[in-house]
Amino acid sequence: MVAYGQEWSRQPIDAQPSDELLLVGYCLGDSAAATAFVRRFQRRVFGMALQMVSDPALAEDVAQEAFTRAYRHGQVFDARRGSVPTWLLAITRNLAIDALRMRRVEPMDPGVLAGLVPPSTRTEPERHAERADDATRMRQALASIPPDQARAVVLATFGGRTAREISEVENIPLGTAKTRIRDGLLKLRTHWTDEDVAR
Amino acid sequence: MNPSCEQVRALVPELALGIADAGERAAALEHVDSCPGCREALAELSKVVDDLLLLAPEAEPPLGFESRVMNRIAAEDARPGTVVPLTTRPPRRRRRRLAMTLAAAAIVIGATTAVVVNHNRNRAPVVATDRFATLHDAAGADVGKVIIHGGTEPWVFMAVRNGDGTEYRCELVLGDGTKVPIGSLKLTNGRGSWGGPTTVNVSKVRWVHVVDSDGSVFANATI
Repeated sequence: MVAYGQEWSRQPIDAQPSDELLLVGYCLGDSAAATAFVRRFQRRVFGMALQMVSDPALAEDVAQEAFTRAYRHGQVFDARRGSVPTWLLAITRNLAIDALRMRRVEPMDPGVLAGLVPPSTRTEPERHAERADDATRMRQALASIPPDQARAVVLATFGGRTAREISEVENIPLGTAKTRIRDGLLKLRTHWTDEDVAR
Repeated sequence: MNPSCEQVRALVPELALGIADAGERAAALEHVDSCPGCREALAELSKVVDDLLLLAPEAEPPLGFESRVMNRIAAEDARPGTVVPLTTRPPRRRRRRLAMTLAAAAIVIGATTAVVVNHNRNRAPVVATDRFATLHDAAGADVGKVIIHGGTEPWVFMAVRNGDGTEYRCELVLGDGTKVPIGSLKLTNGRGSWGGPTTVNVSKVRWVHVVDSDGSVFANATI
C-alpha cells in the first residue's frame, strides 16, 4: 500500500505541503515547518504591511508580529471562514491599523492605494472566470463596481481609513463616503456569491 | 442603548472593515452578539474583506527577516509557562492549541462529516476523530508526537526530536500486525517531521513506528 506525504525539509517551499498542514507544523514548533511557513508567506505579509503603513521599518515590525500572533493564536484559525493566507493577511491588516492609529504615522498615500483599483471592466465579458484564482476573481469583482465605490473600499481596506477620513480625502460628505463603502462592499459580496454559484 | 437591526446593518460594512467609530462599534457588536441575522450579515461582509486582502501586492522583506521571526517565535516558547519542547509533556494550553489547529486543518481536508464542532468564544473547532499519541524510544523517553486524523480523508502528522539517526521510515501498524509504510523523515539536529494524507483505514491502526535504517524501531506510539 502506498501512501504519500510531505517531509518538510525536502520539499520545495512553494510546492506541497498544503498551507493548512504547514500551519500545523508551524504551531507544533517544528523548525523546518516554521521556516517553510515563513518563507511561503513572508512576501505577502510584508507586502500587506508595507502597503498599509508605507514605512519599511514599521512594516517589518507589523509583519514580524503577524507571524508571532499566528504562532500564538493558531487555534483560532477557522478553515470554514477562509484560507490560511487570508487569515494571516487579516491578522497583518489589523496590526497595521493598530500601528497607524497608535503611532500616528502617515498611512499610504491615497493616490498609491488607488493604484490597486483595477480599470473598470463592467462592460467587458469576463472570460476565463471559471479558471481564475481567488485574487484574480476578486480583482475582477473590484473592477466590476463603480470606481468611486471601489476607491472607497480600497482606501478603507488597505489604508485603514475611516469613513470620515475618506470623506476628507475624496472631498465628499461623510454620508456619501459611508454609502460608497457600504454599496461597494455589498456589490462585491453579490459578485462573489454569483461567482461561487457559477463555479 | 442597544441599537436596532436597521442601525447595525448600516454600520456592518464599517464593522467588517474594522474602521467603525469606537463608540458605535461597541454598541453594534453587543447587538451582533445577540442577533443571528446581524451576525450573519457581518460574517458575510467580513469574508469579502478577507478575500479583498488577496489583492495586497507582495514585497520582499528586508534581509534577515526570516531569522528575526524565528527568534521571536523562540522567545514565545521561552516565556514562562509556555515552554513546549516536544521532548517534554506540552502544557495543557499548548496541547489544546495544537489540537485545534489540527482540527482546523482537518476541516480543510474535507472531514467535515466526521467532526464534532464546538463553537467556543473563539469559534475554534474541535475534532473528535483526531487521535494523539506520544512516541517513546526504547528507554521510554518521550521523543515526539503523532496525530492521526480520521474521517473521510485521513491524514497523519508526526514530529520526532532527539533522534540519533539521520533518516527514519514511518510505519503504521495495524491490529493484525500488518505494517504499512507511509513515508520517511529526515532529521536535522535530531529533529524531523512528516505529514500527509493516507489511504490506510486509520481506525485499524494500533501503533506507529519510527524505524531506523537497519530496521530497528527507534520509537513507538500506541494509538
